[in-house]
Amino acid sequence: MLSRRAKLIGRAITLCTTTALLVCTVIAVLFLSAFLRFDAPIPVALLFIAAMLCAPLLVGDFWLNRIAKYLVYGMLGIAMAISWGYAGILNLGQGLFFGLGAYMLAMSLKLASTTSLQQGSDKPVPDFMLWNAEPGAPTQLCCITKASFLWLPFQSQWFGLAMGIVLPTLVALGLGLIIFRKRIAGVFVSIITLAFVLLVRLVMIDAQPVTNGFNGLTDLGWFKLAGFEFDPFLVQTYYLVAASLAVVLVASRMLMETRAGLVLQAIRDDQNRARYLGFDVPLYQTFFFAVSAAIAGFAGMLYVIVAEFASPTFMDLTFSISMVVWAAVGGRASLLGACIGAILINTISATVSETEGFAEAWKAIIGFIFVIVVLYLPHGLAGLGHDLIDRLVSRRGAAPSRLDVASRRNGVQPAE
Amino acid sequence: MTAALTIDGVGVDFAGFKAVNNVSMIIEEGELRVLLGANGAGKTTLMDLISGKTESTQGRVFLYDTDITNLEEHRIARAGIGRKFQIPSVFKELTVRRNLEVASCRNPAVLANLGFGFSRQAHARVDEVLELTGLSEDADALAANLSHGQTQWLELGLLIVQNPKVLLLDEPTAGMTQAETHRTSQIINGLKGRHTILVVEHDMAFVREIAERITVMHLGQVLADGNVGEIERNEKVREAYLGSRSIR
Repeated sequence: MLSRRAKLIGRAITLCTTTALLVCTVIAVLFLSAFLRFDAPIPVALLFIAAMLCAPLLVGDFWLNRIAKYLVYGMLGIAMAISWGYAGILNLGQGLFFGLGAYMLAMSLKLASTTSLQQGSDKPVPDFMLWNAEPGAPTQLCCITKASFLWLPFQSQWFGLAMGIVLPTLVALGLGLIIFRKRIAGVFVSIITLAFVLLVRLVMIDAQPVTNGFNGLTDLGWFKLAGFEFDPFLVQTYYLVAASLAVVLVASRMLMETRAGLVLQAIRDDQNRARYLGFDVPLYQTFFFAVSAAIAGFAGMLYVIVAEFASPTFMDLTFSISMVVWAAVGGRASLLGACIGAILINTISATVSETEGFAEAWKAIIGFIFVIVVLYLPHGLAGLGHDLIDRLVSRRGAAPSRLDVASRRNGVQPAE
Repeated sequence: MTAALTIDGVGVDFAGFKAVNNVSMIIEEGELRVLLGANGAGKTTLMDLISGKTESTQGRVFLYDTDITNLEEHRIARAGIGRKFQIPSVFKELTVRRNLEVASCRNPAVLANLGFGFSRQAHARVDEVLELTGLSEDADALAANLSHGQTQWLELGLLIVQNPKVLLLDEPTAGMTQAETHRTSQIINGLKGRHTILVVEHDMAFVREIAERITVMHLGQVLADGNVGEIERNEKVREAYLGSRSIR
C-alpha cells in the first residue's frame, strides 16, 4: 500500500517536472523565434505532437486516461480559436456542439453495453427506459416510451459516430445562417449562443424518458473499431485521442492557410470592407462556425470514449465559459496556443485542486489569470514572446508597436 | 460612347426626409466625374444607393446594361462596382500583401477558395498594384501599422486589384497632407481612362487636379453639371454655397 502510494507520488512528480520542462521549452522557443524572427509554430507544433506521443512512456494508465481527457479539451481549444480567434465570433455556447457530439455516440455505446442487453428482450433497451416505462408497455426500443423510437438507428455504432459530427454541424449551419444573415455581430452573437445552449440543456434534462435527464447516459459499452475494443484505460485509446488531436490540429492549421481562411480573417478585421469586395460574408462566417462546431462534436465523441459518460453538464454555462478562458490564456489567435492553453490549465488544475484547501482557491486563481491575460497579454501564452519584446521595445521609446494597436482592439472589445 | 453607370431618377425617403430625390446622371465609360456639394447634400447617400448600402425607394441604377438596383452589396461589388469609404477601412491584422491577395480572389464562394495559394496572374496583379500605390516597400508590414495616407492608398489598391468597371471614391484625400493629396491625385489620374470613376470631394485644389466634369448636388438634388470653369462661374452654385463668392 505504502509503496504503491510512493510510486504514485513519484509518477506525479515526474509528470509535473516534465510538464514544467515542456512549458519552459515552448516559452524558450517562442522567445527565440520572436528574437530571431523565424516561424515558431511549426517547431513548437512538432514538439507538442512528439510530447503527446511520448506521454505513455512517462505515466501510468490512470494519468494517461486523464491526459487523454485534457487532450480532448485541447481539441475544444482549437475549435474555440477557429471561431473566436480567426472568425471573430465569440461563441459562448460551444458546449452545445460538444454535448450533442457526446450524446450521439453515447446513445450508440449505451445500446452496446451489457446492461442494455439484459433487459428481457433480445434487442438492447437502455435500463433507464424501463424505469420510465408505463406499466405494461412492451420492452421494445420502438415503443417502450413515447419517443424511444429515436434510439432505433443508434443500434448501429456507425450511425452514432456519423451523427456526432453531422448533428452539431447542421445545428451550427442553421443557427449561423440565421444569426449572420441578420448581420448580428459581436456581443449579440455571444448572447444568442449562450441562451441557445442553456435552452437545449433544459430540453435535454426535461426529456428524461429519452435522455435520462439530469443523470445523463452512464454505464456505456466500449467503442469498437474493426473488432478492437477501446477500453478507456488502454494505451491504444490514448493514442486514438492523441492522433485525432494531431490530425485536427494540422488540418485546421491548413484550413486557415487556404484562401478561404485568409478571407475569413479579412472578414474578422472588417466585415464591411470584405462585403464591398464582393464576398458573401454570412456564408463564410457560417461555414467556419460549422467547422468549429464539427470539431467540438468530434471532441465530444472522443470524450465519451475516454470518460464513459455523457451528461447535461457538458452544456453547463461554466463549461462553455471555461473554453473561452482556455483559449484566451493560451492565445486565441493561435490554434496551437489555444490547444496548449486548454491542456495546461486542466493539467495544472487537476494537480492543484487535489491539494487540500486549494480546490476552491484554484477557481479564483484561474479567474485572476484570465483577467491578467485579457488586460496585458492579448495574444495569450502563444504571443508571450512577441508581446513582452514589443513592450520592452516601446518602453525604450520606439514607435508605437504592434502590441499597442492590437491590444487596443482586442483588450477592450474581446468579442470583436 | 457607352454609358458605364446610369442613374435614373434615384431617390430615398427616410421616413419623410428625402436625402436624395430624383437624381439622374449618366457617367460615360472611362470618365472621371466629381461629385461636389455642401454637407448634407446627399453625395455619400447617393453612393450608398449605388453600392447597395441603402435601399432606394425610387428609380433605377444600371451598370452598363445590367440592372443593379437594390441588389445585395456583395453582388453589386461582383458586378463591377468598387467602393472606397470615407473612413479608410482595410484588414488591419493582415499584411499589406495579404490585404491585396484577399481582394484578388477571383471566385468569392467559400468552397472554391478551399485551395492554397494564388495564381501567377493574381501575384502579378498584386505586385503591379503595390507599385502603383507606392506600397511595395511596406508589402510585409501589418496594415495596422501604416500611416493614414498609406491606409487610404491601400484601400484604393484593394479596389484596383479587382479591376472594377466603376470606382466610387468617397473623399479619397480626407485627412491627407498636401504631399499625400498630390500623390493620390497622381494615382487617380493614372486610373483615368481604364476605369470609370465617381469621386466625392471637397478639396478644390484636388478637384482641379483631377476633374474633367463636375456634378454639383444640393439638398438631395442635382444643381448643376459642367466642367471646372463652368461650375465656378455658375450663379446657382454660388448661391447654394451661401455667401461664399466662389467655391474654394
